[in-house]
Amino acid sequence: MAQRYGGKHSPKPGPAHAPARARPFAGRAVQPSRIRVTLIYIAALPLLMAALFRMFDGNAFAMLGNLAGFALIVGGAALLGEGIKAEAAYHARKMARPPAIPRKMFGGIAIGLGLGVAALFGWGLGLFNAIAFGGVAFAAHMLAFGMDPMRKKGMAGVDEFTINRVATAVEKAEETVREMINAAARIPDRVLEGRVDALAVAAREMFRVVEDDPRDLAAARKFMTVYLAGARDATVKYADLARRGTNAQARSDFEALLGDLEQSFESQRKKLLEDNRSDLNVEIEVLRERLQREGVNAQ
Amino acid sequence: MFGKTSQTFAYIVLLALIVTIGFGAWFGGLSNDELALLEAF
Repeated sequence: MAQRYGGKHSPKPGPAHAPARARPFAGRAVQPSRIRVTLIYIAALPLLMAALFRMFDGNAFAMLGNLAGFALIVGGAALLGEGIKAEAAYHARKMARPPAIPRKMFGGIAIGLGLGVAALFGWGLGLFNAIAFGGVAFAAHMLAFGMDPMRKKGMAGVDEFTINRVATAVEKAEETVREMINAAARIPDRVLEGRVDALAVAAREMFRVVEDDPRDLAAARKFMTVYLAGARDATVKYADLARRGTNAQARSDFEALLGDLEQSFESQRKKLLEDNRSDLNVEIEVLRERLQREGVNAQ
Repeated sequence: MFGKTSQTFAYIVLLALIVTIGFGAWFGGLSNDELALLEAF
């Protein structure tokens, strides 16, 4: 009999009850490129070599200067990378608070300081040169990468308390989703990994609905905390189990759970949207009735 | 906030500064003996 070609890790056809997503990329954030940060790490390497050669010379002072400069630049680049990630997360949301620490700016300060220290103590240039190099590096950094987001982002007419409440709830739920995805990455099964991914997308779509209309938070809270945490815990436990060996029963149970959860997230999201629509309908009806009653109907 | 070109330019300046200071500290901080050796080559 003809047999389908494929190995252990080849994609397998999904179960019959799992419909293909209509928009496979909906709800997925664009990952910012890391190349610009990586190049800064590479550019700092000569300082490490300089420290090494000063050590061979027996010049501890210059070696320490070079090492401190290198550490500051590398630390600054790491902060910059985190800042770029935080900025992308901020832009991906409709309602968000600015990052607690302006990492991009602190990264710029660390890089400027590192260059100044290396120029002053490593190369032995004067104080003025060191300050000038550091200052120019900081300015170039800020121009190249921009400022961190500083303001709260929310919809007009929503009070600050509500923005904070929604932002906190979404941040916590987002953290749970990330933990679930990380746990799923340990499962040696592409299909299940894809199912967890689909659940994450469904959950994130619900977050966007809540951000659109914060009144939905109460109705969505159970999904964003209890169900999501349950899904994460189940994923972690299944990942541990799957690494010890295959267990067909556990696999099918877990897959069924993921399917149920995804479906319930999707239906709850639709229900929330439906509620918003009925709110609008009520408002339209009331206004139209009033217009008719007061006789200001369009002639 | 700023144009893409100026951002790219600023980024290149930043990289050039880091590389320059790095190589400057590597070769610029050489002792006299090492400089003499380098010149002999």
